[in-house]
Amino acid sequence: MKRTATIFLTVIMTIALLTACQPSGQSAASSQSSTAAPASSDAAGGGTPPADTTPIKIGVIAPLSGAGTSYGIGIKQGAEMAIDEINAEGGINGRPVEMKIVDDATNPAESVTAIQRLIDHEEVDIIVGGWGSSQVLAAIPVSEKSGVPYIVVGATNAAITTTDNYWTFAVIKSDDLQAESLASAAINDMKFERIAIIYDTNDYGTGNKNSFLGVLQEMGKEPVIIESYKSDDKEFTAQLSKIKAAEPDAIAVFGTIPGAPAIMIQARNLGIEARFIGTGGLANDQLIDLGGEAAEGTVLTTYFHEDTNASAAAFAKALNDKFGSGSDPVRPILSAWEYRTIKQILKPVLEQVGTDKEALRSAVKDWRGEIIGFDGELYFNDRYQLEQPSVLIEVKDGKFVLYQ
Amino acid sequence: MKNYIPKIVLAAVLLGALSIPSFTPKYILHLVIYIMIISIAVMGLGILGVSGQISNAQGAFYGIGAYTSALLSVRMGVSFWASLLIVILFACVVGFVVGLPTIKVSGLYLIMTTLGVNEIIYLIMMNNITLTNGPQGVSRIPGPSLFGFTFKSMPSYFYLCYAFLLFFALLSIRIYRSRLGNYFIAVKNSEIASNMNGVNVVKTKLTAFMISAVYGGVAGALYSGYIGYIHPDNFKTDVSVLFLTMSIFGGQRSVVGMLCATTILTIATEYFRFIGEYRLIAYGLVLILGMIYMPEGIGGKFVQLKNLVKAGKQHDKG
Amino acid sequence: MLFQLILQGIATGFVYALVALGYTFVFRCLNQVIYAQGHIFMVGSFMGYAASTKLGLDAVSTLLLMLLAGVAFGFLLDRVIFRKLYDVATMTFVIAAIGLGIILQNAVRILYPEPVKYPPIFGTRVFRIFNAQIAEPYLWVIAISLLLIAALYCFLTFTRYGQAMRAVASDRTIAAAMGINVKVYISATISLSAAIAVIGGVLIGPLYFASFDMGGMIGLKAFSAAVLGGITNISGAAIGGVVLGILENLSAGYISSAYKDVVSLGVLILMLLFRPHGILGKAKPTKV
Repeated sequence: MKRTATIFLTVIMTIALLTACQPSGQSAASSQSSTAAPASSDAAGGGTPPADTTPIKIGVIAPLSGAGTSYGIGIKQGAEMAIDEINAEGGINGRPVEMKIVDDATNPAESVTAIQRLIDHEEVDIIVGGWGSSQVLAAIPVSEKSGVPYIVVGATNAAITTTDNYWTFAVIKSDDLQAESLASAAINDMKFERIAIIYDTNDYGTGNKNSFLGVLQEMGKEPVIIESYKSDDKEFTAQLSKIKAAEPDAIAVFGTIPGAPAIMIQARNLGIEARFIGTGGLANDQLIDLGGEAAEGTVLTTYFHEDTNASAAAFAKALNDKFGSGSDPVRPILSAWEYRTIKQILKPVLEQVGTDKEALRSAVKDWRGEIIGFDGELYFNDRYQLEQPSVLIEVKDGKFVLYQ
Repeated sequence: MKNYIPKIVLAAVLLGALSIPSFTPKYILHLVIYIMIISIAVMGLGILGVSGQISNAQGAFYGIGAYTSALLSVRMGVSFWASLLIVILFACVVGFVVGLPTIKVSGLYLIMTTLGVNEIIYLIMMNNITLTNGPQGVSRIPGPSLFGFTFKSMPSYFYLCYAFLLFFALLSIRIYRSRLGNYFIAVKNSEIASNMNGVNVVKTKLTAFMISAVYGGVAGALYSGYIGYIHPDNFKTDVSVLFLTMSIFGGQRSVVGMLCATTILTIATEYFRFIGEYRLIAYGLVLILGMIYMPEGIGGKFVQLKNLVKAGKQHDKG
Repeated sequence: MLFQLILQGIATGFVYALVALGYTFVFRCLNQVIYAQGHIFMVGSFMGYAASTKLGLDAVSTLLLMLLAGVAFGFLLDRVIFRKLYDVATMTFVIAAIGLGIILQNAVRILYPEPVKYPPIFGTRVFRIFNAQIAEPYLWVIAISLLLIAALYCFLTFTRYGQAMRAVASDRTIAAAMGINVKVYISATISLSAAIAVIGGVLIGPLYFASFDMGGMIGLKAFSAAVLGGITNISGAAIGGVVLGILENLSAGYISSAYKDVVSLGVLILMLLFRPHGILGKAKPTKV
């Protein structure tokens, strides 16, 4: 036993010494992007090939179990509705569209397996979906290496769209941009003087807290107190007692369901009357279902609301008609991005260039167009992030309404 | 001639396994690699189990190995192999620190203590952002490379993990059969009797703990090099429970049993995808039924079958 | 603030105590720990939710109904699963319980994928004691916990059936030799423990939203509470729960909310190392 151990260690040490002299590892990272060399486009070329009726496969990766289930349901609804509509209108250049959906169980390790399954087993042409920054960050290296475009609809960490990612796009507004909008609204419009922050220690909460704090400090302001909690905590009395003692006039809650509504209820029970503000993680009907009266008056940034304009209202109504009688509750906000990406970005892109991955990638990059709920033309910036204004909404009388 | 048949079969299986990458689709190959990596961690628990200890902290050691290797290579450009040495060293130290106080504790209380240790380590990973990058995780971890060849393609990683797995499996078998292994069994059966017979119970238990920690750490290093991105959630107590489940399901004394168990349980979650939402229920059923009908694990079933065969032979002879 | 934290700690502590009671009870009688206790508690929470929303019952009727439902549920689990596992090794039992937990979680998830809000059957008032606030449901939790603990204690100490259960716990063979039908008693123990968990779920539902994944954390903390207080002692569940609750709140309030679990776990680990039988437990001498 000792002998084998010594031999093993000697072998490893020798290898270590030899490889330590060579430039290790770092070159591997940059070689990833070059492996995805553009293949020759088969959509180009002369002659009229016979009409292609093989289905186009759109991969959807979403949390259908685990903590993110409610968000995953939204993504699924959006995808289903978009694809059904496309097929009803004749498909894309005569080809039907198929949805291939995989569950990542709100787990980063599972999401690697899930995306692998989409790429290798289901052989999808493009991937749209993803919720939760940890899951998405874990899955991206796979799609990057395999050269499959991945449009992220539900994860807002700024690291998702760095300049190193060649195949990854984000339509949902990233944390830093949302936090900026929120901070400027809070200080300039709503004129809060004493802002307290309570954040979830996961990547969503931490990312938001850091961005928000950064913007506040640029504006010359400091929060009166910062508290944190673990995603599955149920009791917030300790943190809220400290917040109460700091006498804030607004509390920024950077977390998701079910933490946020619980915090609001317990805060009100303790006699805290400050207003709640937050970003996209709160944009979930469950905030109102669970938070009840405590959630009244909360102001948050989001990326869709049915009252913004007529097309948004039409979408919300269509979604309700389609899924209203089903077993799962209808989730307009959460399905908005999935629907809009597939219907308004992917459909024209696929019609234009077919399913060659590199062609798809460039076409998405250069896409400009309208998105339901926004005025004017939107496009992807050089970080492959869709530029868009924030939508500010408020909880009023038990519903989300636009903030005036 | 008859005696050589099992050995020939084994050699054939081992050689045949080498050809797996050439005919399996990438998705399956990914699963195989993943199974090989976690098998190493599971086997570590087997060693611990043979000495009568239960650890609910293997996930933490897996995580320590992953983070050490990842952080060293991302932040300081240390090669995989050099960081592997540090992982082994570090795992030994932490294994010692965790194992030392738990010497007096056993059974239920040991489960609780190690669970607490895992939680604490997880919280440190999540919240100590300067050290571990916290909930952002560590990304762009370069994989291992050897004389300029980088193990980035899946088949190459397969062979790398195959080599590691084979090494650690053989190591486990050797340990079980060695004098140290006998000490483990003695201590498991009765600490007092072993003590009276001159076995250094403390040293034996500690050694088992440290070896098990090293297995976990190495598996973690392989994991981080393979996936390229790690996050504290990969190393929560659920993972420890998963490893523990696999080691018990396999029957801790049997290396083959544990390999089978890891394979079966991992495939169970993937294979059952076709029943959609019910797949995890099926997984739970597999666990329960497995425990009802194979309380000694798969390894135990092998032993039973072997004894049956032997008894049959005796009967024929006599 | 100190008083608020302590008060909340006691309240939360009794939440843990309710679930811990189940662990302690089964351990005393079977020498095993049902790791699925937290998930049984979760199922109980949803059963109560279904009962109170569909049947519109008030607090006391819901509790009584759930008591019966809990016993039935426990009996079902015992019949189908645990019966075959009375004599297996510790770890085998643990893995089987883990499997049960996975099944329960996912079965409930299919029915209720999202957290649900309980109807306010235990009231929504918030009471002020000195300068601290406490929500009404917590008072129910404390009251019912104390009631259950007292009832169980009397049962085990003063009734024949309770004494028979204790006999089965200390030595099965001798109990059987004395004419006690061991299997029936183990079955009763498991059913009762499940009923306690179910009641716990109903009481806590209004406080925390019922969700399919609520069982894991609470199960773990309740387990710590049981071990802390002494897993061989019924009152230990309450003591352990309250100590854990206060410890958590104080460390979140005065040390760091991110690391509060480190403190409670640290204390737990220290306890296990120096006094594994817990605060109220009695040390078991090692027999040679």
